[in-house]
Amino acid sequence: MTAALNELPLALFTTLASIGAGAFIALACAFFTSKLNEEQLARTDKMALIPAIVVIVGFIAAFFHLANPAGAFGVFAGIGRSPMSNEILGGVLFAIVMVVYVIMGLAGKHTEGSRKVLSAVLAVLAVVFAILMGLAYSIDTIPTWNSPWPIAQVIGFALIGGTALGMLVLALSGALQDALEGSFKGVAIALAALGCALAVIGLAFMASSAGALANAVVTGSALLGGIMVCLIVSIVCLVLAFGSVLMATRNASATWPAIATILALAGILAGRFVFYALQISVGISF
Amino acid sequence: MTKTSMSRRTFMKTTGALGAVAAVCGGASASGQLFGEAVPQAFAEETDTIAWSQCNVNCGGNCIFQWHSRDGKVLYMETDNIGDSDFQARACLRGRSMRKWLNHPDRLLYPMKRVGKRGEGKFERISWDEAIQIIHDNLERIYDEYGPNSVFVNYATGMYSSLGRNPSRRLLSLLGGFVNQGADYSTHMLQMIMPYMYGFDKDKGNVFSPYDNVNASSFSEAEAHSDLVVMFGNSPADTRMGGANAVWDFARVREAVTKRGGKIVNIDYRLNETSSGHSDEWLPIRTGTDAALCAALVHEFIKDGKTDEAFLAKYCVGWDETTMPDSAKGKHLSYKDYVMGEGYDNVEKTPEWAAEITQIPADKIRELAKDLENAKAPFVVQGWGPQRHTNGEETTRAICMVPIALGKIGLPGTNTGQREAEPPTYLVGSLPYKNPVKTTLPVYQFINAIDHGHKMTAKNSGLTEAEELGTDIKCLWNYAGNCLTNQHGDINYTHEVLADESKCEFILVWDTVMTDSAKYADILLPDAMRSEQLNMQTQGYSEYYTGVTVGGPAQEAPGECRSSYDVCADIADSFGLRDKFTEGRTHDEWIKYLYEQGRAKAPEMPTWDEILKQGVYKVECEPAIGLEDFRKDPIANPLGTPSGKIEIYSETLAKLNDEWEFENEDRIHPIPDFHPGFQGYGEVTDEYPLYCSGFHYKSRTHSSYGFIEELEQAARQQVWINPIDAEPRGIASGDTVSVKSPAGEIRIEARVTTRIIPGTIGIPQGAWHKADMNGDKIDHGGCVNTLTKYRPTPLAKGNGPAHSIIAQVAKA
Amino acid sequence: MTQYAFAFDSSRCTGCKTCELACKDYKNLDATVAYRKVYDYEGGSWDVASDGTCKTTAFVYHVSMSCNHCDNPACVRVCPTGAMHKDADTGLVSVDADKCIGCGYCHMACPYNAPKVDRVVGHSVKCDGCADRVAKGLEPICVGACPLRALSFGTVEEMSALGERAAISPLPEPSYTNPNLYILSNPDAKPADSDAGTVANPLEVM
Repeated sequence: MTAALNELPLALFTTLASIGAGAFIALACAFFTSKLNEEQLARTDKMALIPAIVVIVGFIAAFFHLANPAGAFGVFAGIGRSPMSNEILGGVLFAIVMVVYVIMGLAGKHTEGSRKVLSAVLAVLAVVFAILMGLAYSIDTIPTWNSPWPIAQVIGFALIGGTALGMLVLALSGALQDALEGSFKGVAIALAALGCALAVIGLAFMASSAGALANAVVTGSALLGGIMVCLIVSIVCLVLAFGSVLMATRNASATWPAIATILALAGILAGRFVFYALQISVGISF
Repeated sequence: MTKTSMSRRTFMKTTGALGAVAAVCGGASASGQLFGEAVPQAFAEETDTIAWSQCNVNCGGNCIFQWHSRDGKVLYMETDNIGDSDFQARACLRGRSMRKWLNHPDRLLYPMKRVGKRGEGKFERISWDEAIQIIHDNLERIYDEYGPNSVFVNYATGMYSSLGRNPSRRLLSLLGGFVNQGADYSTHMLQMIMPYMYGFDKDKGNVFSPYDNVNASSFSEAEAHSDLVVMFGNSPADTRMGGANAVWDFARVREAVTKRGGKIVNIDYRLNETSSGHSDEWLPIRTGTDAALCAALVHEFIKDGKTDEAFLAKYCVGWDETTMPDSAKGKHLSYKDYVMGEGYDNVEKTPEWAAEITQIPADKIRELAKDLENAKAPFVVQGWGPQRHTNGEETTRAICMVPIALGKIGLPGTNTGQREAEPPTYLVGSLPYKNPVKTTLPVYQFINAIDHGHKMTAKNSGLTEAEELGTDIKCLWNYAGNCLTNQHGDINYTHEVLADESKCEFILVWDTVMTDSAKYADILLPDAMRSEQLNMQTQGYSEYYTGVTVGGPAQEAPGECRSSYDVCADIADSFGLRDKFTEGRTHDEWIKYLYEQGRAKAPEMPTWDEILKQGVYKVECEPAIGLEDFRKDPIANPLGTPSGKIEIYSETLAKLNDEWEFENEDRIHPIPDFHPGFQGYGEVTDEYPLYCSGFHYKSRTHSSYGFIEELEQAARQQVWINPIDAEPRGIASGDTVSVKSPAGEIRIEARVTTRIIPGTIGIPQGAWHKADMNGDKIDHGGCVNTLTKYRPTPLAKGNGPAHSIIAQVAKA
Repeated sequence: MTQYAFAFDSSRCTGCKTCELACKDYKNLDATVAYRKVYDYEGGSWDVASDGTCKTTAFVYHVSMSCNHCDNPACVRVCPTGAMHKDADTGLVSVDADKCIGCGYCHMACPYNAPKVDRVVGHSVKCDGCADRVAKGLEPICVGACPLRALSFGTVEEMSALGERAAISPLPEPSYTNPNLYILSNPDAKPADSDAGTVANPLEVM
């Protein structure tokens, strides 16, 4: 647990980045499945600032993790070799498009075409970013992390957290009611369900595989014991977040999307603590 | 006596020189000769000076430092890096941390006088002039009022150097003298009792000393010829850790002995570091029960007909009835009668009898007995741990009974049962002094002597060279030592005696940092480290070579730290005795003088100018066989015992037992029988159900280096406890626990480990006592001497309780 | 290229940590950082009979280790900035302090607990094989410090003659990174995948 708390900046980064990026997936889906009026779309364009800020706060948190943040631009030197470089590249590409998208929105410059194209690109980049975040710590010397489960977790986090936040953006833009009347309702439920399932399955399988591992310094079962409360909190919050998304699909107010977002945030943060706590080396690093 | 080779083989020059600049040395970094033997070392470009010095604390190693400095500040250390790599006095982890000590923010920088209560550690800065005046006034008053028998130079071993400890003694000798130190905390029981077995009268023959190569064989002899090494409480890897020290000698012993098909047995209550990686060598034993094991081994030798009866008859007294002295004949007092159940207790010392006491299964005892019987050259060797017990006076002799019963003494590859030999000679001497007082007080008795010295006599307190002390100790002079409290014992009781200013009236402490003992000073003086002045010292007492190192300073002393020689000269001056004290020589001139005196006796030594350049001179010693001359011809080379023989039964001890006065059930044992001793076997209670012992630990030499954070981190202060004892107490490794004994309570981190026998806990000795002595007295530093009772042993009046403690452990 | 390597005689090591403290002195490290560390690997059990006598399978041995300057170093593989690099001439792995951002990934990835982020200096720190000394024809400071003469340093050809490529517990199988550490075994040694013991001094090697 101490190890996990040491990684608080990283946990915040991956939590906020996955939720924020995921929100753009939900928005893109809304644009492609709903008929929203110009006013709603204009408000949506402005409200997109919210997930953008979430993502940016995440990036800022990540800087606090670095002992020497001034050199952060050097991270691209490892592209292709270092999974962390790949992750940052994915994040930066996403962020660039996101910033363009949001600035255009704030300036009222989006056309229907630009909005659809850019949001679609953002959605794809968000998935790529999530995958790269999940892959960031995959190295053969840490078997608990070197598996598909962390990738499933982060994609799941992006989908469940992003759907919740995306719906909140729509609700705050006065567009959720109309969006839910189209096929977005089904899409939102599907995204959230998939996200919740991937996240919960990813966490559960990583935890169970960690429980069977040990090295000369730590046993997975001891680590798991120390983080069990976090794991339970994470799963419960994620499932409740999904429930709140379901509630949100019945009532277009901002209340349920907000609850869903907060629950997802809590569940994802707890899940990230679980992830960092379950670092078990093949050797003696700890 | 084995001769020492004085060959020039190991006369080595180095590129290093006092004050040599890198430009001189730079060319020595011969590329293409990477790591070849005797490649001269080159130095990092950024250093401009190298200086030699030594580690001068009391592990006895005196390992060698080669300081690399720039602009008068040491940057880093190399150790002995010259000549044959097998013969380098490489400093251990502690020595390698000396720079941290030199530059530590806790260094004492100014003379100080006490302003709080004794033990509180409250002082205020004064000038050197004022300090010297106060010392002068107190000395004058105490010598006048109470005489020289009231002045004691306390046992202190933090500074082994030719001008380390003796300036104080030289000064006090000029002022009327001081009570001498009897024995020492290292071998207190052993060195007082063993002479009754191996000799005490130099007019008659061999005299026992724990510090020579006459009464014990060298490890190099075991390496050359032994096929079985049996160690009792001897772990060079924990006690003598330097690179030309016993730990290295022993590594070669193991490799040679096992290569020739022999075996090592390491008998200890802990799986000590000497057996790291060789755990099969470990024979776990309950602490303080070695004498029971030895009796059972001898029982097996007798039963198997493997005792060397001819040897025992010719060389020994008291083995059996036939060689008992007249005064003891017909009383079944011999060792053999004791072992075979015909002695005073009528108990046969079978392996089954010993098993319950020692926790060693009887079949294991028989196996060891067989190994010993079958060995051609068993090398039986004890450390100083077993004797540091309330029954240590018997234990040390009982271990010697193993080779004696087999007649395996004085022969190639064998040993006398004592600790491995030490070098026979010291090339240079120390600052001379002539103490007019002969009275000698067993060092561990100083607290009693402060409390009631006027009642102490030869017969009730072990005083020697005088029938009585005649006064209480009123002046304690403590240079570079932490034995006022930390390293003495029963700190809570000791505190009461020392804190009472009506008892000891003046305490002078001289140190480099604020030790627990320093907190009791009336005047506290800041000493310069040896690396901050010209230093000279021989090899230590634990390596097996002769040598001398001269060099320094590597950097200047901080603040107002001064050499104790200069300060003593100033104190002498205040009495009008400067010239008598100095004989016209400065500190550095004395070192040169002492070196040249040594060289006059050993002309093959380098000249003074040469040694200043090369820093280090070493000569290997030939292997030695303990008591070899006696074995060869006991008539021509008798022992200095009344009979001239090994006295297994000592008539002298029997007489002392009759004549001496004891306060309790203590008695002196003429034969090395097993008895539990105070707080020994069988003394545990419901309240204190565990045995407890101190042990030497890598992060400190006794208490020296005990404040260096890097060492504390690398080797943590932890109580060792077996999982079998830890589990029911809910204790896991890393937990803070309370350890309580009848004497006090400490807090310490637990190390739950299979490396200690169940039922006994082990605490690394020397940790710095940290307690509120005006409050709960709970020691958060984990000093084992908070737990030891003050109970001098029967004969030696020594620190036996160090390894005999009963205790309870609980999660704190 | 000459690949340098360490050799370690585990049958001699007494766990004294002189190597560790000599390194600290030379590299000027405080209590919070150690480039070379000594692991106490302990295990075994006790069997106490009804009469109180005991038998035990207790064992302990030590592994002294700094950086193994691996052929395939995990720290280099994961380093995002390329600060962690392997010298082309000596094979020694070290940190370029100017490039390092202190992300700590090298610390996580290395199965030998070698690199660590020192937040005070603002980058990852670790054993560099005393590259400055090696360049001058000297041994790393730890090697000549060992009172037991249990450490050696030289070319991989020389060192591999002194032991097996590190494969005893608590170390992992060498296949992950191909460490340039060659170990002479000891009678208590357990294979890399053994669960017979544990590192008994975790607080001393963090």
